Amino acid sequence: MDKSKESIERLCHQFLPDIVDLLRFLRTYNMKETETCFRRECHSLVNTLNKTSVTNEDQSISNSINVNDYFVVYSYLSNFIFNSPYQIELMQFLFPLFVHLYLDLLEHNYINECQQFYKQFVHSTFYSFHSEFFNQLKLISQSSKHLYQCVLTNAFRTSRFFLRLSMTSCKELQNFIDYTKNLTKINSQFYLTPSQISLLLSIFQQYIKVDINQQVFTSSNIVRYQTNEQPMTPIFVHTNLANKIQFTRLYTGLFPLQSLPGDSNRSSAQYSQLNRGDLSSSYPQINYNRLPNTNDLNNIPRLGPHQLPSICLFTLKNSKQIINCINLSNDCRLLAIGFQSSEILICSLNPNNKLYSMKSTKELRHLLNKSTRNYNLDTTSFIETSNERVLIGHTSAIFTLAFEPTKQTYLLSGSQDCTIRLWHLTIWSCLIVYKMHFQPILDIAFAPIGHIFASCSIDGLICLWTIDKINPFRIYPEYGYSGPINLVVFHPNSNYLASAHNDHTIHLWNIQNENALVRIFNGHRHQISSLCFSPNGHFLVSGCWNGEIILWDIQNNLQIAHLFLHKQAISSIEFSPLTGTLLLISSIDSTISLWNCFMITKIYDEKLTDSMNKNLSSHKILLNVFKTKNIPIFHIKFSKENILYAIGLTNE
Amino acid sequence: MTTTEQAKAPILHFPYQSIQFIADSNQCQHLTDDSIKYLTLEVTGIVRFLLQDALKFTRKCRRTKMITDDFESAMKMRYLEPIVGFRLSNGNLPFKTTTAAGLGHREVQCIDDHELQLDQVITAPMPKIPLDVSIRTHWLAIEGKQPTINENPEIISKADLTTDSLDPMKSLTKKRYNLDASKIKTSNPHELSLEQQIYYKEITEACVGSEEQKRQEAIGSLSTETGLHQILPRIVLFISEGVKVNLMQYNLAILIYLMRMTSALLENKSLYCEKYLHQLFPAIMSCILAKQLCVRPDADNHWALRDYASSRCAQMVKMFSASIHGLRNRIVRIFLRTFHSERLPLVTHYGALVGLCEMGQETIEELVFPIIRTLGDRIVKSVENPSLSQMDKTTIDRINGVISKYIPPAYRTSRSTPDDIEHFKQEFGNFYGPRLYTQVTQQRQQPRSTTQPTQVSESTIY
Repeated sequence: MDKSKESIERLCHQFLPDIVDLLRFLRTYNMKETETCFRRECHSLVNTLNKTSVTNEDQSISNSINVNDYFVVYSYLSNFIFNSPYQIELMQFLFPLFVHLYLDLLEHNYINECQQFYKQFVHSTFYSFHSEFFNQLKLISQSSKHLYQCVLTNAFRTSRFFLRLSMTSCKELQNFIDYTKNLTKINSQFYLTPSQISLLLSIFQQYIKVDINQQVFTSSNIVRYQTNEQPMTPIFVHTNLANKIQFTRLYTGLFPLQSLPGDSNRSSAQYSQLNRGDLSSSYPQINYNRLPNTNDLNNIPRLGPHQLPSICLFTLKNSKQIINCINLSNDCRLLAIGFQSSEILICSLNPNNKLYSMKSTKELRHLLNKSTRNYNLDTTSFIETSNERVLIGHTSAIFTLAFEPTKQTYLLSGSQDCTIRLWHLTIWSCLIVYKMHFQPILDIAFAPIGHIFASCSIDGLICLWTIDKINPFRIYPEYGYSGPINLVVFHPNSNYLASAHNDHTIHLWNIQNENALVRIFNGHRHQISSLCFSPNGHFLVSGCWNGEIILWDIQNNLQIAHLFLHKQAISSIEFSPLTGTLLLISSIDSTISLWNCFMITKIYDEKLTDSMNKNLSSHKILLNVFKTKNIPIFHIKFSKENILYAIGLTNE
Repeated sequence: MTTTEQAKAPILHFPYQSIQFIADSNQCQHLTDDSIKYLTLEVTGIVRFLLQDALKFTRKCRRTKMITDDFESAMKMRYLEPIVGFRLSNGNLPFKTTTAAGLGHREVQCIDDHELQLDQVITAPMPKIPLDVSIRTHWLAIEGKQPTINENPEIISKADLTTDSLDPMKSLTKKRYNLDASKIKTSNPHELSLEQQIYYKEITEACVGSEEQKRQEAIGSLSTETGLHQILPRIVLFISEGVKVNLMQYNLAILIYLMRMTSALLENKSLYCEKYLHQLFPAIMSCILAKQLCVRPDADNHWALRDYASSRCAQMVKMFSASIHGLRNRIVRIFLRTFHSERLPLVTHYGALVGLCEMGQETIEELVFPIIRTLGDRIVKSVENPSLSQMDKTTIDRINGVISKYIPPAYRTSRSTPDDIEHFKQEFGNFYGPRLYTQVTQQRQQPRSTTQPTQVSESTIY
């Protein structure tokens, strides 16, 4: 104990000059409150240091003896699990156990043992489920210092693993543990010392939370295309957040809820008040998004398995600049291209359709004078010369672009310079700069009703904005930074927001309530590269970097289908408009695949999966695959005429 | 690489020596071993994390290859100053690998830093102006089907083609994938009516029978009848099988009759023979190129059959090359290959030559002109051979006949008047050069005759 006190004193001495400097600085600027605050914190810091060092030392003393225990415990449990009839569910335990034993070893600076542990137990099937995580674990194997720098391991340490088990397999495990506890040294070679058992149980208690969802273990009826039944990957959620998830029933109707539920007794009252005022007053009239006028509706073919879509591929050729992102406006008239060089290029896809521009002030004044009563002033005119236009304003690479869905006169751009800019597409200039994120913006999405948009960034925040305010009205998530957030997408009724996280999960947030995480979808094994809701709002499709596609039932948080066809990242997903019976998926392996979504859900509902595996072809899940001549497809979108516009990129 | 290997594969790690070397070159000579070890560990860790971050940008922009900009962005994110000057226009890193002297001949990467002469830079031609983005459009699919246009790749992959040819049943199941394999209809024999059967029997008997009168009528019926669709496959099969059998028995007469049947089928406007070319062409080609067609090759007039068959061949190529891509090329290639293989007898060469000459003006100009020289050499060689058979002699005469029939008119239309004997010798060799020269000059003096060389002496056939 004396030793530890000495070390603390030494530490304090080390930092003391800095602290004194800071105090002096605060006093000179007359910041009294900050000063007192700082003093208080300083004291508490010393106290905690005191405590942690003591516990650390205790641990190191206790752990220094039993490195071997880690190996014994892990091999013991994995032996049991691989011989169990419920292997497919119990497998989930292995990953958290592996991770925490490994990190424990590393934390106590047993570098060699930890590498040995990795080599001994990294199992080929096991590795393929979590290959990206294992890569990161391998990266930090050199020094315990890296452990704290790595985002992922930090997340592991501060969060709990959620496991979904059936009652039977859970009991099996419990019996097994009881059995080992009662074993004596004499009657078995599978003997665990009390310290080993306590190590196992402490990890179970500290980091694992079991969620029992069924009575009996049954194999799932997920519709599979070229994939096999695999054990689930466990989710890990920050411990604070883990208790707050509200698995309430979702409203999956088509139209946005007009009235916001009043949440009066919240601490941030001014926020919610502001929100209510904002949202309800500024919601525009329900816009039947993408629904063409009634007279057009008759001429347009309804797409379905018997009326397949036409695809028009636009290939962007020989760009000298590096293209980072591409987006199409909702009416497929305009194409926006974001470059690494911080420029944005807007071009009209139809060469006959010129871009519009606001008339000059002189003309406008003339117009005003001429027709004072007429409110429908035509303020726009064609740009005669070209059908493309460059927007300059950002200071670094553009990463994402989003068109306003209802009118196509606004464009949002997110950049590496951590700002979001709103551009007006008839004035051709930047209107607003939104600043909140402190790391590069990765994705922006407009709500289908317009007016509201969400942004996500490498800093792990999702911000919700209305276009007329420069501050976000909501920021998710409150706890637990687990790395960048890659994608955000709105539910068709604009009440929910899905975000793809770096730990391969998809979170669903209710934007009507503040900070309401309502679902976590878990099952991908690679970084998610694309998300899309079905037009009826019941399903969510996600594609990941290795080409796997999962169809989710968002109400019940279940996987409906696993489709594995593409060899590389999924770049974009589209449902056929209105009906949603067709699913189109584009990938950067230069193919577009066409799936019969109606058939997939039908097979799932009728639990035909067993019979289907035998003659999968007879059910015609996959309707067609369209190949291009080595042109990776970056974006697809349905136009009003039900023609699929695809954007490809080639560098010859 | 299996996943286990992948899991255990080594990861990025800087060697201890390089860090030492870098430290030395940056005026930090007096570092202890421990500190260098620590530095190595730290640097490795930092670079690993930077690479992880850079990967985020690479994936965000859906690139399959990380570029220097991504790494630069990752450095910016960690508030490190980006390193400049590592970007080349072609996207490659400007490193080159050399072996360092000392240090146990390890490979060292260094920057290729050559000096530029200012004059050269100034006088160098202007580089190409970088192109701006351009957009091309095409239909990838029309109502769920991929149109076969240039912009789309071939729908059938090579692997599919090979499996198709190896196992046609498999492709059948693939095409009707909505059916079970058991449900596929077994090929249904298409039954002919009694009248058709009688007609078939009569026609085939008449065509190869001994009565010339009946044959004339049968051939006439074949070339004019409109309702022959159903028995066409049978007649084609009859021809191709007939040629196979009679070729072995040197039955010249029957072969000629079969060729006349073919000719009649081609003449029939209501028939569409495209589906049966795979059976007709081999039959015709064997009649042109066979080593022996009759029992006594020196006496019988098998030349007539060869000429007739090759004119039919040319006719078929002309008829179907529009609808079948590459048909002409394939046929011409077969003739040329036969011509160039030396061990085949002169008779076969004769057949190939006639076949090529029948193809028309263009083929003669492009393909026959260059081979006359070798043909001449070959003939000179075989004439010098003391054991020259009577058969070969007639063949040589025949070849000369063909050459003087086809080449001079073709030459006359393709080349302009000033004829030079030296030039002829150069182009056609010493054997045929002078001959052709005299013939061409003769023809040039005559008024342009209307007789086309493609008119084969059909009288010999009938």
